[in-house]
Amino acid sequence: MSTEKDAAPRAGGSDRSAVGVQLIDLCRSFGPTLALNNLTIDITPGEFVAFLGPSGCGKTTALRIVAGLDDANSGQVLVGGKDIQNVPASKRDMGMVFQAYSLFPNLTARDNVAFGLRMRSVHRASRRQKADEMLRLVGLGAHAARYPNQLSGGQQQRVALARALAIQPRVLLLDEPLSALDAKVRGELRDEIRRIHQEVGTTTIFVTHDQEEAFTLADRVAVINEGRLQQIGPPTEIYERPRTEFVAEFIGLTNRLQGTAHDGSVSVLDTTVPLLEGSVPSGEVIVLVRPEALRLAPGADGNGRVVSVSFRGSICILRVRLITDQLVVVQMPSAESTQFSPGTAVNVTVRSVPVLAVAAGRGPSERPSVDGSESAPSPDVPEPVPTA
Amino acid sequence: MRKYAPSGGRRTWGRILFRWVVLICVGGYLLLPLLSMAEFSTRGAGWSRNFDAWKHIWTTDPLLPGAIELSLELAALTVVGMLFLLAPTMVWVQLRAPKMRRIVEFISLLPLTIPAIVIVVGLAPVYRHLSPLIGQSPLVLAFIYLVLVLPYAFRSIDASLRSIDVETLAEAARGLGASWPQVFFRIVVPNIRQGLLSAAVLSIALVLGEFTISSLLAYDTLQVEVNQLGLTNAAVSVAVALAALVFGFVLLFIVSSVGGGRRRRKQVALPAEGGSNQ
Amino acid sequence: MTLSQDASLAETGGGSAAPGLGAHPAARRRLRKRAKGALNYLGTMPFLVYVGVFLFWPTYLVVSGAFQNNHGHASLANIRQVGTGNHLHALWETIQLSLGTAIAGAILGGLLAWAIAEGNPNGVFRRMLLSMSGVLAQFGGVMLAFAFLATYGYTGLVTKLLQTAFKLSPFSTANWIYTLFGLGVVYTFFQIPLMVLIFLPSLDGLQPQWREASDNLGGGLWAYWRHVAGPILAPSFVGAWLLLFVNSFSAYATAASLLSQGSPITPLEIRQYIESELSVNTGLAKSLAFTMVVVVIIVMTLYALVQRRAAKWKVK
Repeated sequence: MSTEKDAAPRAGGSDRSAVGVQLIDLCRSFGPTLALNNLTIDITPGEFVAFLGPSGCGKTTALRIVAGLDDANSGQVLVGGKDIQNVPASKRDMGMVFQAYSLFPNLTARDNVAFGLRMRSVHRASRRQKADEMLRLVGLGAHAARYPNQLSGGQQQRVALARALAIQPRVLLLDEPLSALDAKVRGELRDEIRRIHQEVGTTTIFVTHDQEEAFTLADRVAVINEGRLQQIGPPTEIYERPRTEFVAEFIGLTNRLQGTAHDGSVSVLDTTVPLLEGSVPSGEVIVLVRPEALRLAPGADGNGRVVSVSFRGSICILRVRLITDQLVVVQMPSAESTQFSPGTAVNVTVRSVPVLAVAAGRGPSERPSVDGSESAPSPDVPEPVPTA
Repeated sequence: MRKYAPSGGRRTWGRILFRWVVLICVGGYLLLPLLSMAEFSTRGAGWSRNFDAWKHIWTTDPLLPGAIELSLELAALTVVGMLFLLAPTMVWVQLRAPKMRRIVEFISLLPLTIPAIVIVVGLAPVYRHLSPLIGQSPLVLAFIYLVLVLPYAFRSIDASLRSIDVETLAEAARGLGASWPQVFFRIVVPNIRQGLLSAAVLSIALVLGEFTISSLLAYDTLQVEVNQLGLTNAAVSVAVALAALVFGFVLLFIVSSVGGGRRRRKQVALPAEGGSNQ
Repeated sequence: MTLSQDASLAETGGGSAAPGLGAHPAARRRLRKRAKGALNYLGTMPFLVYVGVFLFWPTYLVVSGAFQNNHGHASLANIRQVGTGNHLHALWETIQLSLGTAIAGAILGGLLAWAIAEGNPNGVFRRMLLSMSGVLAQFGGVMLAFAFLATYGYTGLVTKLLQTAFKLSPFSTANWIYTLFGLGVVYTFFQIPLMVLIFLPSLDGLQPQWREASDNLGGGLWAYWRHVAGPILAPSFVGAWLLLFVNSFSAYATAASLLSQGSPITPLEIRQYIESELSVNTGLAKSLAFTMVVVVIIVMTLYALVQRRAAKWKVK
């Protein structure tokens, strides 16, 4: 995972100081369904936070409540310290980018972008100038006079972004803006969004079900499931130190191995490793281990046999069947994988990185669990962080 | 309840109230005549109800049953013509002569521009010239009825045809060895069933409601007879009219329920544009 | 490869293996391909012939007959007659009637369509309202004429109610239903449902995100309608209004049923000159019919223009 983003200085380019957003104990139900269950998230000024979770987890609902397009049943939303619940959507000064279809079809790109300014009674000449400036910012300066039906999906979303930014909002809200686009365009636009955030510095909330997007763009990722916040933190923390079973399984790939815990560490695959905070401290447990945390050594008297080797470029994914008949997924740099091929007898151990242990209620699944994760494991599995 | 309605606006109490005011006023204005028909046809002494008119629908006018039968036959013939001339032509055009599509579409929309009252003026000589070929029975009306239903049938079938990838289906079938008739009957027709059904229902509605041409050519269809009846026996004629309207409503409602398929807001439930029956 | 070419391409593959059969196999292939293309167009023949006989032929007779006198010689006599006295008056009345009912239908029907669009898109209520609209729009002017009489006629329900309950007789001159105004009221019974059927799809096409985006950017109800929904709906609304005009202009059955005698409007005049034994005049009927066609063509051209202007930005 690249660390460029962390290295770049936070830009405070806009002349309006950024504001923080607090969601406090938000509850929202639709009929019998509870969409938000005491959701509490604190966003610092200028921060880029991703709301990440599976479909139906409530992330879009939360975003819409912040935008004013929906009302919470209970709880508060504070922007810059002030409660905005009674402020209508049109007065909240937030820019929103929807997933699709949000450009006004009867207006050109320029007029779309200038719309918010028009609502604020800005004079035509300055409106036009600002709109053109925003379109240039998103790389569409030449298309200002085009209608949305003459623009591609990616271009339309850029215009939508320019439109949201033109009013210099206090908060920028993005509701899965890249989900309806194809992969290549998605990647380009992702980089655009990051670049613009660094340049403009608005507090941003980005809703997505795609881990890669969340990890690449956000300063902090808020993992949400069933209306509750599971964990919030920088991407590395979410990945390496998951605090709940859901987070461990939703993010990336996870192996579920049996182990015995006591005294802050757990014994799994004949190795003893430290436990992460939030683990079940003692007894028979299920240990959640990342593929890159498993170590393979060839050995005829080992505990497993390689089933398949899958070359993915810089890394290799190996599937190993243990003598307990369980299938585990192991990841290693390709250079190391040359000694393994289907059928090789191996011994699987665990590196000494902290792991999460959860209650052994469910039996070890036949396959390493990738359940809960919306996006299929992408070819570029997040690079493992070198262990200490 | 969601804050924003499916149509995109904010659901305020004022909006909901306004909606119901409109529904009651305009809807009521339209429903009032139907209620009046029910009342009129069951009118007894003072304010009591008398169902005689309804009981005698079939018997009062000796010509009525024949007229109903004629109209039903004409409706059936029109549907047959629609299924065996229009539908195959449209499929043929889609698969083998795509450039003709705009022409066929334009032709199909012409009957909206050339009203029935205009067509009928030139129609009598045409029928006269053709009578050695097609006879003179009232059933020859079916020929012109098929022309009248073209706009609605075309739009229905077209919508269905465009929602499935006919070319690929036909190519796959041909590749597996199907002949053209087999492609049409076994592959295409089952997949455009909704459009065909819609077109059939609209055709039936149009034929049963047709008055202009049949009256000016002096044929005794349902509407012509009902109109005649109105001059002599008001209650029964109103009863017949109400029965026909209710029948039509039930028919359309069933079709729209059976329709299923994509029921999103962008779906057009019934094709537009009104009738030559007004 | 398209289906129309598959056979010919198969020919191409096999043709080269048999030299000597035809002097120029390539030329034969081209001929076959052209024959195949012609065959495709031939498939549309039945339809074209049918339409030619039952649509174009009568229309041709009307148009050509309009420019002849009653003895079949080319003449503008009948056309000129249309421009005189009664006929012109009837034409003007027809246009007024159509304009009035189109406006009433467009406004009231538009409101009703909006009210329907507000509801559950899959609900029973909506289906019922649409089926009702379909019936009233399609089902026949005769029925509606009777319904009208049963309501507002001399012995109609509303008339009776007003008399017995409120001692009012605004309809005592029951003849109001036989005036142009009365005709207009009946016409609304199919114009309003027709408007619903034509216009509802456009209302359905309003994306919720547009209103949300507009609100989010600072606009209110008025701003949304003025800058977004209004301009988007305008072409369909005007188009629907034009279609309503054509529909009313072409209407015959309702008027014919209500007014069994008399010819205040052009369609009824045509009836008079076809049916009436006293004044039968097919030449004049054709001229009147021709006039109607001209008016309708003008309006439909406007319709096409309106659609084309909107096509610039219309969502595909």
